[in-house]
Amino acid sequence: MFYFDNASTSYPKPPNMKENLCYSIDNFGGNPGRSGHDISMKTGEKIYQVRQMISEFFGSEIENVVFTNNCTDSLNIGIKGIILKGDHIITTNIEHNSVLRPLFKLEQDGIIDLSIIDVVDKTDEEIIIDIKSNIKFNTKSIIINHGSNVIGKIMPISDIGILCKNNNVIFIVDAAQTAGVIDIDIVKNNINILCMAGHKGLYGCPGIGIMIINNINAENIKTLKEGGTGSVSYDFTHPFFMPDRFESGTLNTIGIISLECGLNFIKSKGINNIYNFEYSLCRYLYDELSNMDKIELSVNNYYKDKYVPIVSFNVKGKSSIEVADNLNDKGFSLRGGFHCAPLIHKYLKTDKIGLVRFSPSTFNNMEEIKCFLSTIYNI
Amino acid sequence: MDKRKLIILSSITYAYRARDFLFKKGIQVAILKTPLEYSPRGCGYSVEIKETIHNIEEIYLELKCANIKVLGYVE
Repeated sequence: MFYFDNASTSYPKPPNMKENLCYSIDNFGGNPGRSGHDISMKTGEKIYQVRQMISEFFGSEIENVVFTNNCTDSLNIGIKGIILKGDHIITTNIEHNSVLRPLFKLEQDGIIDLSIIDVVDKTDEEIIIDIKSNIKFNTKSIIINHGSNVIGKIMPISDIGILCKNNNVIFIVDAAQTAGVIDIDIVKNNINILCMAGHKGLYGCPGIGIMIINNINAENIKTLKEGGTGSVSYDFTHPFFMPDRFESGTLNTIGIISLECGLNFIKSKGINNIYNFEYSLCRYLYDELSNMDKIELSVNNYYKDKYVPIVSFNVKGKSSIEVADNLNDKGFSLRGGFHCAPLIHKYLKTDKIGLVRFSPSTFNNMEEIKCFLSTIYNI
Repeated sequence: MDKRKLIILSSITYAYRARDFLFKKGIQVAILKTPLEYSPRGCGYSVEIKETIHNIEEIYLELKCANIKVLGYVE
């Protein structure tokens, strides 16, 4: 079976992950930050080390790294945390439902005014102009998908960050498809809330996500939940300090420790090498698919540093689900459908048939791509 | 009985930050759950300085200036 669905979750995980997790279950079985006994303290130390690794990886303060359940969790905490009634929010038509659904609910409830910018076929300069022209007196936040999970388009977050900073607007970035693939520095990019999955490009286990805050007061981010934090427990008021403010309840310690394994793997390969390799696989696929009359690609071009390693396409006359099922029967794992991103399908006019999405990882190779192409040719 | 020298932090994360900060200054500490008699706000963690030569108040103030969430100290 050849797995090309890493945009959903990365598979396989690094070679030493299984051994790492088994060791962790045996040796880090305490509840971190709760007790004073050696087992709890040892687990607490390990969690701190992973938190520190992540902070160094993304350029943040250690305590500003928050562990969540997944990227959707992180985005909900960040988005709902900063919004007040009457706020205006700007986002785009390449967003995932983890951004769109919270925003649509807030709009439906009369809490926010929402502006959605079309960015699919726009240049970076055009995007900046459009975003800037939509900023109003009450714009609270600009929320951007760093890399589209459907067409792979990379958004100019550095320029958008500057725009946000200059206009005193909170910048939230959905890095679900870019964390671990593209170097992201939260401070240099002027990101205020960075949200990511732990189980995609970071090669951790499912059930773990990360939210990192920068240059924003945690007290000004409302909590979605309150509960036990193992700290200042006589206070009925939920803590204001980080990361406890957003980490109520027992942490997914095994998931967090899996991130250590994933990050070590990324560092051993080099993040730029990972991107260059995965891009080369996608570029080759894109070029070959371009030469097949029966293939409709989702984008007209595919340039390095403008796209994450994702190529989406359709086989003419077939629905994406049908093609994905067919490919599965032949040993290829890809996702067909709408990818939880309805607006982009509306724009691309694939809202009836969806798209087949190819998303490799560093564990795939060119021979697998050639085998895949041969199968596509014969569909 | 020697008095304990503790700096009380708000959480385990800050206890580890304090430990690392002080280690860079050549001060070794142990992290422990804050004894209940020193934690009016409930559960928390502290760093204990074993060496007698250090001025605990100065260390407390240094940690505070480094944005490490200290709650108090004991000596």
